[in-house]
Amino acid sequence: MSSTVEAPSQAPVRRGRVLARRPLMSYRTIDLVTAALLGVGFGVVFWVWDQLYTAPSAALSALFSPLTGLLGSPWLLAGVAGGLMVRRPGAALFTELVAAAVEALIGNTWGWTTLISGGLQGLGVELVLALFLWRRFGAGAAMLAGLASAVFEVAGYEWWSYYADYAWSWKLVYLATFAVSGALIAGLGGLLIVRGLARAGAVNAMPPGQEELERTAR
Amino acid sequence: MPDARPTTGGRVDVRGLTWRPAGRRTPVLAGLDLRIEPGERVLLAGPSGAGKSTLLRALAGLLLTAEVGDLSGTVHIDGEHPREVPGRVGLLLQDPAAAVVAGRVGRDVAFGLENTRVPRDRMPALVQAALAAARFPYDGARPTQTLSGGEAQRLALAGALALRPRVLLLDEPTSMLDEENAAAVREAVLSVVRRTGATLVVVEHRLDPWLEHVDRCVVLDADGALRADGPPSRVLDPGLAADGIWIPGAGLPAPTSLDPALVAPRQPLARGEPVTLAADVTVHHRQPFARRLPGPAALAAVSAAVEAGRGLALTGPSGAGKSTLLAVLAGLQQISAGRAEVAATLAGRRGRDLARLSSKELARAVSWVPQAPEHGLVRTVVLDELLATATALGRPADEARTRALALLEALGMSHLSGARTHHLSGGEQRRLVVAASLVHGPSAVLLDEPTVGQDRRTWAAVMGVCAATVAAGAGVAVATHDEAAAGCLEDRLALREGRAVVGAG
Repeated sequence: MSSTVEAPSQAPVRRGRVLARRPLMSYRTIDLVTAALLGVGFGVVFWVWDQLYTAPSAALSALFSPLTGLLGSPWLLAGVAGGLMVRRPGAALFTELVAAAVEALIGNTWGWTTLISGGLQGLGVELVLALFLWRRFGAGAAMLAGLASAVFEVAGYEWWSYYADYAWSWKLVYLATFAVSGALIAGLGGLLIVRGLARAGAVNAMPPGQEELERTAR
Repeated sequence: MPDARPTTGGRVDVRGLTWRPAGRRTPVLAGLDLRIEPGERVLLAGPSGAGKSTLLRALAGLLLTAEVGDLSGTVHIDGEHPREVPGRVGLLLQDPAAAVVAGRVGRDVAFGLENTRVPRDRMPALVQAALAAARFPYDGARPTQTLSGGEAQRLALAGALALRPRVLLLDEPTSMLDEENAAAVREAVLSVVRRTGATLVVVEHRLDPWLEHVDRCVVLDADGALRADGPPSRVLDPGLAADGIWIPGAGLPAPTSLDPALVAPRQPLARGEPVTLAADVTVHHRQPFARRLPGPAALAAVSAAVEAGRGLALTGPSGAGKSTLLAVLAGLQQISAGRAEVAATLAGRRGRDLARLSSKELARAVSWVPQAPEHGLVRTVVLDELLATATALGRPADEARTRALALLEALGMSHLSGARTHHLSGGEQRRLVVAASLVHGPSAVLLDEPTVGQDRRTWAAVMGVCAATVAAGAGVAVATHDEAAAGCLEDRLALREGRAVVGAG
């Protein structure tokens, strides 16, 4: 409610896309809490993936090392889901950073450098959502966000740290496999997770939850 | 207040206020206009589901903070948006436990001060003054966990007062308290209002205790529009009783009659046979991580039985152990000593011990409605909620549906069968969980404060459902502060400090 009259209700129910209330940077408490909780949840998932990842990674390495890029995208889920859920600048970065911090604190191979990855991955999602002016959160935007998240991680960090020894052709194959899996698994997967939470009624106060409520208005 | 300087009351100005929560086709409030002068004391009444709590949340600037929907129109407090002036409006809710944010009383009161960046060295004096103004009986070191409902409500009042509100909003602040605690909370509120001149808006179903202290009565109708507005003597005509308003002096409504077949137990027992019983039961509440709470046992060697075809009222002041005993009889509370068991005919694979029944065996025997109705909700849509237990137990779908729809109608909620459970008002949610506890035909039903938040008509409907359930041969137990409700049941067990009061009626 404000001094200006908003949302003149011509149609009784508003179907379709719901955006975060403007101004975009005025986070509600519930936005912060939701992003933080998502981050913690994904942090645990990331840690589990840290454990599960080693076997298939070894198998793919034996086949052709750059193919391991296919396995990186589960770690990008938090940023995509956080961005699609909260729909405000910074939410993707925050969620991915919280997840990386939780993952590192439980304990993994990479220690605090997990935060470097988390930051870059989150920034990749932010870039795409910003290009769309925080107005697009469908499958296309989600896939591009997952893709950009992978590109930031690989080109911004992994090429120069873990895979500095790769030839450029290998580096590019690694980037491509990571990007494809980022778009599909992190992008579409993140979108499905957000929609699932909305359908379950767990995030009614968030824009995806509101879309779901209005879609099935009673 | 911190210093003796009286704050002036705030002016409330509502224009064209419309609120439709997301996912609801119709608005809760539609084009409401309301003006309240500084220092006015207003009683806000209306039938269950009229939008009273929604209006209070709008005045406090809370809509759109954790709820989403379409909001239009304006709300101003002294010409400003309520969220631009934190602390200007203080809001007390029905359940005082919901307002506790800290482990110690002092920290709890200081929470608002912290949020408005009051310098730390000024806080202790402000906290102390607020506690005194709210007539809170202990100092700031008291653990909040040890407070009774009435004390917790005065703590919540102190938390609001610390910010020197000019408008005080109370949402059924005494409906979950016993008479003694309710009077103490009322007295604390009125003394604050007298001294500070704050504007007061009270929502309450039972109007009598407030009437002599207010200058104006605003009545909403079932659609959230203004039904009546003016001095209580002029507004409260007997015609409003038909709308569900508890008009003083109108007497108790007769429980609505309902066909007992609709609430009949699947496994009827002989009348008078205990369906579920507690024998010499002692209960110690534990903190998380299994540390015993200090102080006496929540229940000390209490015996009680819910008998088929009889109604039992559990009464006593806040903290007497009513809810704990009800949970014991429902098989949901771990006991330290004694026995808790169901009738032999309801015994499960591992015997009669309530703690050893499987959830399905337990669900067939007894159902339980918690004090906070939202804790009993397991589905998102009303009709699904009603059918949930029957479905889980594999009851015939047609019969369950018939019973569910009949119960909805009896409780005045037919129009809500497709509504979302979290869109219901507090009173509606409570009636829903009562109805949902009966659809699958348990042999006993245990209800914790089923009449809270009910208007005259819905109160009569709830008591009518209880009476029909007893007539159908099920056992009914009701834990309640509502003397009128207790009076509708034939048996009574009075508790005090975890013990049965000997010789009580």
